[in-house]
Order: sequence, then structure tokens, then C-alpha cells
Amino acid sequence: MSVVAKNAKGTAMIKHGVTIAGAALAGAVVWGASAAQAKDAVCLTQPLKFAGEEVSGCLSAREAAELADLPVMLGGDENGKGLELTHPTDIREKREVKTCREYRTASGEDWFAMTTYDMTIEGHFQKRCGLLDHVARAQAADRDYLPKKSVTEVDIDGISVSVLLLFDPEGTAGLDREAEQGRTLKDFADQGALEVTGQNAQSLTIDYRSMSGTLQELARGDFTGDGIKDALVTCGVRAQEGSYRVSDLMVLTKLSADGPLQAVADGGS
Amino acid sequence: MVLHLVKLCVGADDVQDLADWQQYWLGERKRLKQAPEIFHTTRMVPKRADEIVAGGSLYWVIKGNVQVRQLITEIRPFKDSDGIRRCHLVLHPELVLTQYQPRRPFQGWRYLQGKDAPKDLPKSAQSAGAIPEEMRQDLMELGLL
Repeated sequence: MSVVAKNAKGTAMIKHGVTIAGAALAGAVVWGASAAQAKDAVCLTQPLKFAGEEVSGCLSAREAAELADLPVMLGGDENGKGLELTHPTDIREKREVKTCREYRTASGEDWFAMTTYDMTIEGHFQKRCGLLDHVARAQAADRDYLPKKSVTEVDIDGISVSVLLLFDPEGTAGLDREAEQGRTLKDFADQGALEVTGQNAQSLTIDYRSMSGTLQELARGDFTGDGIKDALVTCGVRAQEGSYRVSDLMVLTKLSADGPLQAVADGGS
Repeated sequence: MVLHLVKLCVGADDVQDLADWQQYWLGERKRLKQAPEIFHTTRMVPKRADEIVAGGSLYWVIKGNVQVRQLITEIRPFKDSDGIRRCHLVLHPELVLTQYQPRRPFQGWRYLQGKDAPKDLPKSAQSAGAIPEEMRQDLMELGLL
């Protein structure tokens, strides 16, 4: 898939699989991938927004590295403030990060989001930057058992309970064991332990163990290095009572055509 | 069954850090001639307050693990200067070390069922509070605490 994009001067150029909207900051990206790099390993399911850029289609590791230097766009505000992080030992000292590279550097030095607001903003960074990290690590898949439709539309009798990891912060639900036994979301729903409250191409929303959570597909590629195409999803979970919120990236896969969709690894965001 | 709350202890490196902060807080309140009590302010008032104050604790998550708890002695709703309803979770000053229970980073608080709460560390480990955290963990694993 090739699309037309514009560079910093507004000149149209062809870029394999990547749509670049908003030419103002496009000069920050070194485009022009070689033929080898054009064999993009990861394809986005939904556009990835950075200030001045909206990226869709397929991405190579090199392009992901370039995007890490663009400011992460928060909501619709392209020129807004970034994420304020607090010094690990002196809470009076603050630092603002705007790009994924800056965020990774600061996180690596243990700077942290101190307030609820900062944590919310950090969630936006984790989603985008975590996705870029996965793209950077991804390999080209040679087998693909995922459905053509979004993984959020898969019948719940084809989804392993392993996707419920974030719904069980205490780890007391025995989900690993249940998943090993082949239990699916439908099994839990039939028992009355789980309710699917929304399911469409954009999201799958589930109530389970006093928590409500939503899964959204972000991208597809081989994120685990086994040659099989995986789906990267974001999962956000909140307590039905309380202010608890948690979100993370998860890698889902199907290991065979008739196998269940299952979580295979921590997203590691 | 006792009902607890679990919450991230933002900014604390270890239990001693939390203890130091609370001691500083108590000192400031005394200096300002305010009631010398420790509380945590939260916007959402727990609806199951009665169950919590009947022996429940606030379990603090520090650096990715539940590490310590404090008895919740009172849940006190109030309105702040902007008219927003909030509540104080009034805490017993004693910090009780618990077994580590790993947690992902999260925001806010949630209920924690008694059966899901990590166990308190034995008394021998409670009195070993001055031992550095890493060493305490090693000693625990060796059965020496």
C-alpha cells in the first residue's frame, strides 16, 4: 500500500504504507526508507497521533525510531504541555517530556508521574511509546492465524481468559490455570462471572471481578519472534467502585487456525 | 470478611520513606496546632466505609509491591475550599510490614478483599525495620526473619 504524504516544504512524496498528515513538523522525520526497510514489519490498526503527524498503515523499526523524536499529541492539543515528571528523590524538582525518547530517558532515570493528572497523561505516553517500542522489536511474520476482522470482534468462545490479566491485580483468580485448561470468556460468561458489555470493531468491553475493562487493537506484527503474527492491544481497566485505574499493552496471538485468541506476553509498557 | 483498600504510595522509595514523610507531616500538624493525625485525602468516598473501618487497612504499594499497611480508623467525608466532595482516610500511625505482593503501576484506590490481602510479616521481621529493604528480603527468603 502506498500513499501520498507531504514533506516539510509541502512537496508531495510517496511513502510506503505511512500516511503523514500535517506537514508542519514532517521535516523532523528522516523519510526515504530503502527497499529493504520498506518491508514493514508492523501494520497499525488505528492511526497513531503525534503533534503535526498522523501515522497509519505499516511501519518499519527505523520509522518507529524517528517517531520517537516527535512530540506525543495529547488530545487535540498539538502545542500543549507535555508530561510533567518528578525527580526520584526530590519531589520539588520537575521535568517536562514531550517525546517518547525523552520519556524513555526520564523513566530510565526513575523520574515518575506524581499526581493523578500526571499519571493520566503518562498513560497516553505509555500507549504510544509502548507501541513504538514493539514496532522497533517486531519481526516479519511468516504465518498468520489472526482473523481478518479486529480481534475485538472475535466470538468470546474463541478468546482465552488469559486476556483478563489486568482484571485480577491480586493474581488470585487463577487465570493461568484456567487458561491452561482452555477456558474462554464464554465459559466465564456462562457461569455469570463475566459480562461482555460492548463488542465491536473498535473495542471489547468486559465486566469481571468488580472491574470494567476495554481492549482495543492497535497493531499487528510478530512481536514475540516466533514467526507468527500477533495483535498488540491496549487494555484499560477501572474499578467499578473506587478510583483505581490501570492500563497496559498486551500481545495477543492465535497459534493455529482453530486455536483461541490468547495473551502471550506482557506488553512491557 | 474484612474489607481493605489498596493504593499506590506515590513518590516513596521504601517503607522508611513513607514513615519519614508521615513523621514530618505529624510534626507540621503539631507545629500548626492541628490534631496530630495521619490521613490520606481522596476524592471518591468509599461506599463500603462501614466495612472498612471495622478492621480494614490501607495497603500501600511501594515500588511495584504491596509492602506495608496501616489500619484505617475513620473515613471522614468533607468538602474542600472549592466545594468538591472529598474524604480523609484517617490512618493509625503504626506501619505494619506485609509480605510483598507485586502490582502493576495504577492510579487511585480500590477495595481489597481480606482473602486477597498479603499476610503481615512475622513480629521478628516487623522489628527489623532498620534493616535495608533488599537485605530484609534476602533474609526473609532464607528464613532468617
